[in-house]
Amino acid sequence: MIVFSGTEFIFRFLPVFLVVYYLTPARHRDITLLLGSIFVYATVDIRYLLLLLALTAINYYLGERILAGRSGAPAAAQPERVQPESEQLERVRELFRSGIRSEVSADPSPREQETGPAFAPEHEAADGGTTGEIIFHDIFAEEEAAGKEREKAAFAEAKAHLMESLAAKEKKKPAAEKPAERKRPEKRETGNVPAAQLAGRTALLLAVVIDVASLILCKYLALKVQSFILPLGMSFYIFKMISYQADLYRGVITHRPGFVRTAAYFTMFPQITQGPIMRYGEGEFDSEKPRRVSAFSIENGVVFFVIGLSFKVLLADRLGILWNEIAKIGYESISTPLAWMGAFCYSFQLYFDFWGYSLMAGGLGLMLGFPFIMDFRHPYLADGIADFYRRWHLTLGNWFRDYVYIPMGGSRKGALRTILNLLIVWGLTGLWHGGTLNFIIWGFVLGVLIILEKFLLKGAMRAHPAIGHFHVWFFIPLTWVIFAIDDLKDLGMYFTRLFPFFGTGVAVNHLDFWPYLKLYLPYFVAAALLSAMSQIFIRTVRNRRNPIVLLLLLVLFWVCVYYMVTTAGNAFMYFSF
Amino acid sequence: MKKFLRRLKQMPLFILLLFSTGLLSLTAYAGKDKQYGEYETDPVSEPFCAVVFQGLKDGIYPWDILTGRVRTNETEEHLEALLSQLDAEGAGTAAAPKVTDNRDTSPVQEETTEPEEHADTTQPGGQEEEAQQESTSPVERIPDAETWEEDEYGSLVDPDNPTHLLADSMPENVNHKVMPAVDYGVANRQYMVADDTVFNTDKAGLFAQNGEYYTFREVNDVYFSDALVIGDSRTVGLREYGDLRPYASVLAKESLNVYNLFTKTLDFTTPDGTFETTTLLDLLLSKQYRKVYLSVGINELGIPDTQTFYQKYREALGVIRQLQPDAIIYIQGIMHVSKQRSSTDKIFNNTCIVQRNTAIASLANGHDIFYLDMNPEFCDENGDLYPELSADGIHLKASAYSKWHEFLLANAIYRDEDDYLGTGPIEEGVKIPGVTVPLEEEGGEETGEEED
Repeated sequence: MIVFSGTEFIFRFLPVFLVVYYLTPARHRDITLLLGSIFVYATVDIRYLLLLLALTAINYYLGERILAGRSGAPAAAQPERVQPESEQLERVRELFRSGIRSEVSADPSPREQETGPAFAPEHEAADGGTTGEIIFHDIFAEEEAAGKEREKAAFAEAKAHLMESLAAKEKKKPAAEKPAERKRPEKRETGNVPAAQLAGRTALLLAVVIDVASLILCKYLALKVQSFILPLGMSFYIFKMISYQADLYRGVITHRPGFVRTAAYFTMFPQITQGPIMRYGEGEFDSEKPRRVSAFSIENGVVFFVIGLSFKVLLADRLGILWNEIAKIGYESISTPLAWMGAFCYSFQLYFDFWGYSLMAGGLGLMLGFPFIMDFRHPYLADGIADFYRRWHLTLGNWFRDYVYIPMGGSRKGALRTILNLLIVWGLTGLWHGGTLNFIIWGFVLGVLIILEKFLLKGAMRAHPAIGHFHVWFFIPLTWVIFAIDDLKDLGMYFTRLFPFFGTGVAVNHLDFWPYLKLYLPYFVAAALLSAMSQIFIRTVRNRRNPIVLLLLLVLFWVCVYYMVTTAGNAFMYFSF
Repeated sequence: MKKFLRRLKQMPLFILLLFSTGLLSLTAYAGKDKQYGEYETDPVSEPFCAVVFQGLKDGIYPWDILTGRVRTNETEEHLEALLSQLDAEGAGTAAAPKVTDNRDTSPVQEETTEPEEHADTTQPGGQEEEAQQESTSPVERIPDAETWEEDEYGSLVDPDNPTHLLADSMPENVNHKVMPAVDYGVANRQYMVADDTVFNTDKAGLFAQNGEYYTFREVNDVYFSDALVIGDSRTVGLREYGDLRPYASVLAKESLNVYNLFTKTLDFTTPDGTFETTTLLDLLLSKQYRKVYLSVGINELGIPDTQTFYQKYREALGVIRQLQPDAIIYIQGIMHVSKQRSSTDKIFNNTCIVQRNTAIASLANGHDIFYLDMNPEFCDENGDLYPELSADGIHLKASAYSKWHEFLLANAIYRDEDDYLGTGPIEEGVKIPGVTVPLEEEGGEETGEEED
């Protein structure tokens, strides 16, 4: 039911929900959204729904305490760095406004409608390498460019803020107040803390402890007892809750509407299973603004949804079959070429599954009147592993940057501290993805690779961009293999098949890759082209009103439906073995 | 209104999707009693137009609705003809195979009548006629289901003939219920021989209804030289990784099942390196084999119900019997799935598999149709596939397929030397165990000792 790429969701839930949603007056649409989300989640497991609602209530209550604590505090924060930043912030803001938010979600001006607005400028920025790229998509290693570290860090921070505080800033607050204010938890600790503020901090601590503890507990139980104990999407909604509390505490969220709106934010069905981890402010929850939906944003939403669906159903799911085949054979018995095919197969599968899902979630958000939240920005075009993760699952990367890396000092406290911070962040990232050892290995391997790139290879990589691209296309698929196989013995076996000089296999058929190659070549080619050429995606989106593109999208949609109907999901047609 | 139209113009894809959905639904509606008559959709989870796509998969195009074309398939027609011929023959003899439908859930009648049917169809082979003179009148053999007793596993058993199970004896809907392995794990013991059974002749056992009976023996790969191994993806694995390809002809493809057994295009390989695609029907019509191994049943687990499956399987055996009169037919029991799969999957679980195996095992006659159950060697005491043998819980790992190959070698039937040698080349020095070898070995899989 909650699977976007199922007929049940697309043909049953979604149409009904959209009709009800659009018929609801714009002011009350969050109620509809909340009820719809509860319904969707209840179809998964009613017990997990109770947990979700309980956590929602707890977080709402504690948020109230934090807010009370903050309003009791004196207008904190001395903006010592206001001047240099305010100018940049203006630029950020300008770029942001001309960026995707206005393009995608708002009504276009009549002129744009006629000419077909230049869509998704952030992609163009990515290709052109303008500042827009840095501003919008910086993650942990923001200080890449030598000598600009400070400035860029400020940029990154400013950007993180902007989305959250845009609404607040409209209320004639000085533009730079927020970044300065945000510097703070440390600052406040030193000062004389009023009781109200202390209560706020206690509430924050309590909220974070409760959220983190319940996540860890569920993950632990899932690991030790039964894998289905982990409630659906918990990793995502817990992160939303933590960011909500932190933003409340920092004052990023200044105005907090009632329980319904907050609960809708935590539970909203487009994001509950796989993100994106939208911030409270990004979803414009911090205002009483009604959720207006234009025909324009509905159409954009449908376009993104169809593209995402195609990625998921026509690429990821197809390639997933091959990956399952390989597992079925048993890793000890695959030939080395097949092992490598498998590594790329899984990498592409994961990418198009996740990217497709994010596009579908983003598209659904647009249809409901939310801004488009981007999670992927052509990661395989990255010029290094650090850059890859500035383009992969942006909302998660940004979350770790804003709530872990930068509060710990980021890269501004010397090389050793930076290394430590990176390792901590990547260790946590690994843990977040799953509790088994392979995820922790995965996180640390990435952390180490990024540190190496940052401290040892920086010069070489700048001189020879090929090194970075090689890293992306060689190491990243290997790290995904670690990600994919949670049994360490199997994992070791897979690597001995990838690099056969470490040992031999059992019952290996040395030509086993050939039939698979013939069968899956079209999918590999399509996946590789889409990964390596951002223009395919960008142009499709930009020309979405072109009749040919429209027809293509229409056909893609129905081909997806064909696969949905004729493969899994239909117990009476289970001919798959 | 104008404003509304302008808005519509702003969302061309949205409109196109709505429009095409309507169009496809109309198509589905127009063809619902004709071309799409056989398809079902689940109204809760699927759009009405889903049948159009299901039809598309089977080669029924949406425009067929307009032109009124009804698809025909040569292979299927041929099969139909064969089946009706079989029916006619069956009616002409005493077997009366079609008395089955008078009881809705209990296939008692066909359970018991079928051995005769197969006895009939074996006649053309001419090999064993003497052995199987009508021992009992089929009319006498139809037991009264009321008198059947439930055994400790919940299966209905004919007290006069305990090796015969009522295939569909479980309560309704149990087919989709996940049961703990321990509840059913050893149920298939009922169609295997008891541990302390002693056979008095070297041809005893194996569901035999009459005449001579045979036991499984060990053979070597020469035995496969005139064998045809038919199956689904599991058999594909056996071919690719079980080292069977150099010895046996294999006809297999994933998603083969008893419903598309004869008409699906399959990959055919022979020991001499041939690789081509053909259907089972075409192959059986063009070549003769001495042994036919049949291994299907996992794909159709999701298709209710066991009785239909059983009927279809029986029908398939009839066709094979008719086209391959000299062949020993092996019914390979469906291999169980792992515990993890079985305990979480509503369809692919061992409860269902045991039920289906119980049904098809009863089709063996111990004479020229034999039931081979590899599960005792691949499963633990609860009937769950050993987890180390399988990665997905359903298929064997590549490295485990040789175990299946060995199992087939260790459990073969030969009635005389011709069965053993077949038509294949005889290698120098190949040991051919004679039919007179004493038979203390391998009592393993048989039942039928109740026969006198």
